[in-house]
Amino acid sequence: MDLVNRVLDKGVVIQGDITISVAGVDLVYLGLNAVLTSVATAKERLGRKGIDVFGGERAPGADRSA
Amino acid sequence: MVRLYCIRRRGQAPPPQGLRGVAGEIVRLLEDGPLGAWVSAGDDETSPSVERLRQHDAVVREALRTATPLPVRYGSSFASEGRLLDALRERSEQWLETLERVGGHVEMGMQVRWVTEPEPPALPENAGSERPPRSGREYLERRRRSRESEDRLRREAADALDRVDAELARPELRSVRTLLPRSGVAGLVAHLVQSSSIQAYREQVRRVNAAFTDLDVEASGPWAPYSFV
Repeated sequence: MDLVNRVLDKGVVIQGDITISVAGVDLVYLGLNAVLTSVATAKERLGRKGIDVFGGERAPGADRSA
Repeated sequence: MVRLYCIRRRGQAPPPQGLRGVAGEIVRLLEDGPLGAWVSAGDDETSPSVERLRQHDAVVREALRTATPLPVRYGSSFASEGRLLDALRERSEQWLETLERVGGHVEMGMQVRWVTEPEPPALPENAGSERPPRSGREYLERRRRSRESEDRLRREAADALDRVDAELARPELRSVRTLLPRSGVAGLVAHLVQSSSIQAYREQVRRVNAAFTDLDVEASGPWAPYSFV
């Protein structure tokens, strides 16, 4: 539990590439303490809705996430 | 995809050859400006299993053997090395200041458990064998009792940590507290300790443990300074 408490809940946080742009607002999708699905599944599901999931994969008209 | 484990100063020892991290991926060094980063190839699996957390921490621990790193929280992945380096550059001054602050230190922990666990908080309304409240007034009274018992438990936990801190008598140590992390545990205390003083810290915690009959106090670590970055 000491390990989980530290590695999951503490430490440096740098926003990576697992973000979604929705209407130009960046959202951190995968909460590190409550990951619900794999990145592949997330890309598959969210890509169908036309949301920019990863840098380089843009839906038409969507802003690039930071 | 690139997974990030920790940040260090440029020029410090690189990962040992053959070191493997999460999902068995080889750990390597990326350097940019004054900073270095220990990284590996990432994968699409992001669920934080205990095994993957151990693998992540094992890499951070290896870095800690040669110089205090800034441990990165599990799950920091980037689409490319370039994007990772861009993210590091944005706050490079901040990372350097933090490295300066924690350099030469490790994180040690104290777990403070009650020997006899206090009475748990009153169950909230509609839980278990309690019948549903018959009126709004009864509902609110139950909520008040539940909150009061939660507050009482938190005060008891804080009091336990205060007593342990007083016995440890190291007010100069930077510390971070977590109250009631799980059942039976009053709290966790993380201390930032000089790397040369790990054994002395452990002995002090053993002495503290012996001073109490109602609490069990146990040391853990050394850890990379997760709580102080």
